[in-house]
Amino acid sequence: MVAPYLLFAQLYGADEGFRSSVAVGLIFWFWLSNFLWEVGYGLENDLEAGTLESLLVAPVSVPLILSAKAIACILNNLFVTVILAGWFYLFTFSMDLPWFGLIGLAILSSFSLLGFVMILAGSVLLLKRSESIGAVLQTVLGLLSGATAPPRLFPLPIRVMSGLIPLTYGIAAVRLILQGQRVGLPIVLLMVTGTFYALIGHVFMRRAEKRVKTMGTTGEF
Amino acid sequence: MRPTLVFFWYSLKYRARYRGDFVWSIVAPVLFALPAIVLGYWGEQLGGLQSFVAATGTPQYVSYVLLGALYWNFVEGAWSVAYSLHSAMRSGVLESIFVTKLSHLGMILAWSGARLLGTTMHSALAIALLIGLAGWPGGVVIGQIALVLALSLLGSYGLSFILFGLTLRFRDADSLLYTVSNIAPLLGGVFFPIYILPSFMRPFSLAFPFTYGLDALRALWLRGRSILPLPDQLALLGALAVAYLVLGWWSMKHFELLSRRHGLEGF
Repeated sequence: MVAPYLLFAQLYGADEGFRSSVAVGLIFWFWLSNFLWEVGYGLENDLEAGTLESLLVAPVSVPLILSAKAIACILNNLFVTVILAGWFYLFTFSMDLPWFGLIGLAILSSFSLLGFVMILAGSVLLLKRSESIGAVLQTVLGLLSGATAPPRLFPLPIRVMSGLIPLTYGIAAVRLILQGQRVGLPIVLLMVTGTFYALIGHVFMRRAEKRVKTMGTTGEF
Repeated sequence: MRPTLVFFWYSLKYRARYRGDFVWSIVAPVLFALPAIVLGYWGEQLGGLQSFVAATGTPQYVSYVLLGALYWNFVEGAWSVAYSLHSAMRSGVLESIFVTKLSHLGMILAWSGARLLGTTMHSALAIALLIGLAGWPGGVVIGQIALVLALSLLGSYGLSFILFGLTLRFRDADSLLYTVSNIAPLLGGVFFPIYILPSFMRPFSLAFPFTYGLDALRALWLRGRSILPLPDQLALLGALAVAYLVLGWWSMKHFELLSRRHGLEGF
């Protein structure tokens, strides 16, 4: 999902700075996307395969199951990011990306997205199929957080909404590193907004879990 | 024929069962295009529109991207039948389907038919946006566009036969489809003309029918230039589509034979 957008950016013939900024946003978007689908929507696989009911009667909570999936997803994302660096080389995209800072902030941003992941997982428990919710979340969060264009280009109301999304600060921090600037404030904001959504997501998730357990079934597929 | 029609009806009902999910899919092509549109806006703000026009032959980057998203949404409708097959395997109903009178071709046509019908409905919003932005292309051009889509669909069925066979044999379709779904738009130039692909990828792109289909679609609707003169391009698209269909049919039969030897168990 990174290369088509990066090649599209090439059409505008802009400099390395532009390409690097676009690449940073796209890599973060890729992490977000994998996190949402593999962790949040990952429950749908267990639900469809019929293993979720067994997991629900085991002495583990759904957030714990999601945490295990999250760790697996982060390891997978790290692997894919290394492959991605190889692809950039093959595509002769000349960019000087701050890889260590980028990966560190991507991991931190992933944790800040746990709230949204839990909301998606909760929607799977309640609706069974919520691919569209996942697709809308993936695109809206990616766009508002500046994955393909910095939020300063957006109209004021949309800029305000961008400021409410943790990923915005993760992407902004790496773009600041690219410009050689300090990143303390964006990281603090990333953690504060991430914690806020994690609390909301946790409440929503626990309610969905409780409802399923009260019903005694995950329902027919 | 009757088993195929019954299975088509079942597939359609299954797809529409989760109404919220089904209705929301109307935004799918727009969601696919939106990140590129915003990126295009950024490029325009930085003064890169002239460069875009020089590369694509049109200043209408929103329509250019929307057409790419619509086209991919459509051709994916046929080859993504492997997802349906995988889902039937996972939920344990595939063996029951196999013992009915439904042929494999019937399964593919029914699953893809239901998907394509859904995709057509879900494309309405993006098509309306496209008409609003790029205008109505006229009756003759619509006929030519229909021909491009029909030929592309033929090629897509060829690919679906291959993926169907591979899924039967190797079962784990997720990785396979994920790879195809990501690489195919890249090879076909979903948001860009293929000449900007790295040189090692261009031969693969040129052997791909969808490259010519999408390029022809843009040339027709946006009145831009095409890779080849349009009649030649349509002939090449048709030839490649038939070649994919024949190759796909052969490989499906081959993998089906192998899957019968190895069985469907152990999923």
